[in-house]
Amino acid sequence: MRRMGISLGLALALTVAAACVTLAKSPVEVIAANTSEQQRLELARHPLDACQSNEVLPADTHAVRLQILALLGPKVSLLALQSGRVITSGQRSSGWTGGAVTVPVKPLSSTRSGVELCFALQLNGDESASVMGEPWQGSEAAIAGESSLPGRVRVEYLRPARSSWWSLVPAVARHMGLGNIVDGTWSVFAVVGLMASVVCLSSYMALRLPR
Amino acid sequence: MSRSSKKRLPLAPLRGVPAVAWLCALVACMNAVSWSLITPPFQVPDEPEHVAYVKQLAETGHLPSQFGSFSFEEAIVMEDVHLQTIAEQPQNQTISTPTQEHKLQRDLARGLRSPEKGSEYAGVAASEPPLYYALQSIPYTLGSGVTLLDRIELMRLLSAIMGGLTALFTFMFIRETLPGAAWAWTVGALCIALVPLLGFMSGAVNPDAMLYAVTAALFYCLAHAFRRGLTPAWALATGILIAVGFLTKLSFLGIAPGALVGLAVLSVRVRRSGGRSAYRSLAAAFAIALSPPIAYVIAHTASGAPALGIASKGLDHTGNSLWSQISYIWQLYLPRLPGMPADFAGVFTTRQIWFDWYVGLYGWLDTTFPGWVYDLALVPAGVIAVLCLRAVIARRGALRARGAELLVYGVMCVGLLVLIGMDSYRTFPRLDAEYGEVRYVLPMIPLLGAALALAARGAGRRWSHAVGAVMIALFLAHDVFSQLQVVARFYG
Repeated sequence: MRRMGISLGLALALTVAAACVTLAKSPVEVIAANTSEQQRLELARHPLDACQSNEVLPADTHAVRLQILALLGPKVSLLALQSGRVITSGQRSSGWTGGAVTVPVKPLSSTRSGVELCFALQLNGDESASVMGEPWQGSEAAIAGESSLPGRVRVEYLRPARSSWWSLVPAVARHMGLGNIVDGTWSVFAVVGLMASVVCLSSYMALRLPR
Repeated sequence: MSRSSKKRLPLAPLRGVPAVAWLCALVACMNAVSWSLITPPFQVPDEPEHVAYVKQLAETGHLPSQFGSFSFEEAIVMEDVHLQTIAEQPQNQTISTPTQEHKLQRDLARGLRSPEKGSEYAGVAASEPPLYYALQSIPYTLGSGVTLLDRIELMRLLSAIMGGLTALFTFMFIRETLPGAAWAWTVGALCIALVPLLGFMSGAVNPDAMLYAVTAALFYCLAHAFRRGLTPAWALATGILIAVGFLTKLSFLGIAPGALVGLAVLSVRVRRSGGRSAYRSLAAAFAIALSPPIAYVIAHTASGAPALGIASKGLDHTGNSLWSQISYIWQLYLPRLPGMPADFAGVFTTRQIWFDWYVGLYGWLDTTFPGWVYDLALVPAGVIAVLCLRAVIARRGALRARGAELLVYGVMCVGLLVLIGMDSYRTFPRLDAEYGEVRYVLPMIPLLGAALALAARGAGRRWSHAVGAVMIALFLAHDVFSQLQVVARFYG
């Protein structure tokens, strides 16, 4: 019983500590985006290497989010170049899913303009991915190999926000009361109450495991 | 009904269900209710279609079709909550201004006043059998005076009760399969009650929630009969459950053959021990179990449609060899073998689809943890797997004696996996793995519960209880962090 209590206590304390650390961190915020359009530009069925010029890479960008839709996303490599020199880069391994892929990159201390952003989708076999963005004609369109894509890929530049999750709790609680299945902030208290009951009941049952 | 026949009813043992099993069910139910409150409306795969099905059935008494459009009431709410821009777009969050909220409330009231009845269109849900939707018609009708979102929450609450039943029957299943360690039943069932994906799906309008409960009950019936012998009443109960499974969701087609094999094996055992009525019970159970699919085939044949309806699509792979299909199904779950074409080149499906997506993939497959979480999760999963293996090796003699029972569970499991693979292969290569979602294999969750109970026992007599308590805390932490991740994605 004593050993069980200590084990459970330690495990729960570790969980609470991890939750506190997580909530002390900042959510990701979008610093800039090159377009708000999200139309399908290309359905890639083979490995795709594409670059688009005239991007502005804000200072402190921790990640770049590309609008690429895939059920089982391929490995994505990303390079940011200025005057032909790599200023930052990143990779995301395969297996992601959804309408956007976030590639972590090394942050820069200053904003760079005139950046050429290149990405490679390492599609294998029968994999496919839809590249989304703004239809665009001319030299500003993304270039894949020797041909142009019919537009610019939507790119968002992300960084950790200035405020922590803790400080955002009231705002998140208010947001949960809008457009949700249950109208009003009281649902937040209901969730907290339910999960507190789940934690207490589970802990009680764990401590009272029959011999 | 006489006292003696009452005693033989298979529901009678439910009166002797330990209080701790009900507590496991309560935990699962409360967890699912919590998920139902944090998940925004329609942000669960296919929930708009399932809601439309219930609306059509409850308001018109007719089945919906795959064609047409959503009802005005549902369409306007989907537009107001920005379903199209949020689903599969993790960068977009739910509505956040009072103006948007006022418009939503105004349109909810307009929808309530709309004279339109039902929703002819239910998209992908239209091909599903009607039992779950018929049950959901009850809370839907009870809430006929409140807004559509309130009715959706009422329906989600019924699904949450089904989540509780899943945990309850998982407890009972573990009790029958591992009778020697009462404490391990709680560990296994409580961990299952806290599985985030079970909470997520049971906190939504989706027939998967009912399928999990029905399959868990079926596992319990089979385990009970393997341990204590198949009585006519238990044979009938199993047959009824199989029929209910057929009426719940099409994917039960993959599970049913294993369950029917189980009934046959159990009947042969009874016959060997002198029970002459065994085959009569088997015939009655088979007749009940197979009545829904037989009625389905007759109805389709009479209307000139393919005999198996939409189910026949899974078998239709014109132009592709059997080998390529087998190879695809294998690779959907396991690493490619020499000689197989690379259908998932660059993707380790076992890890990236089945493990990672079990660890965390919510919403319209758009809500994930940071990448390092999936790597970290390998550590506890590996430890649990090793402990489970240790327990299996230590009890290999007992397991060998229960080979037939394990074989039946294996056939049920493989049947479901093959069905998922065959359905996914229909859209391959246009889509890599259309049905490669962990929620589709969650009907096998009682087996996970038994494996977890075994893992706790694998820690040895001295540490087993402590390891069991840590496992419960681990699943609790997984659940809490999953909910926080969903909150951050939609409202952060």
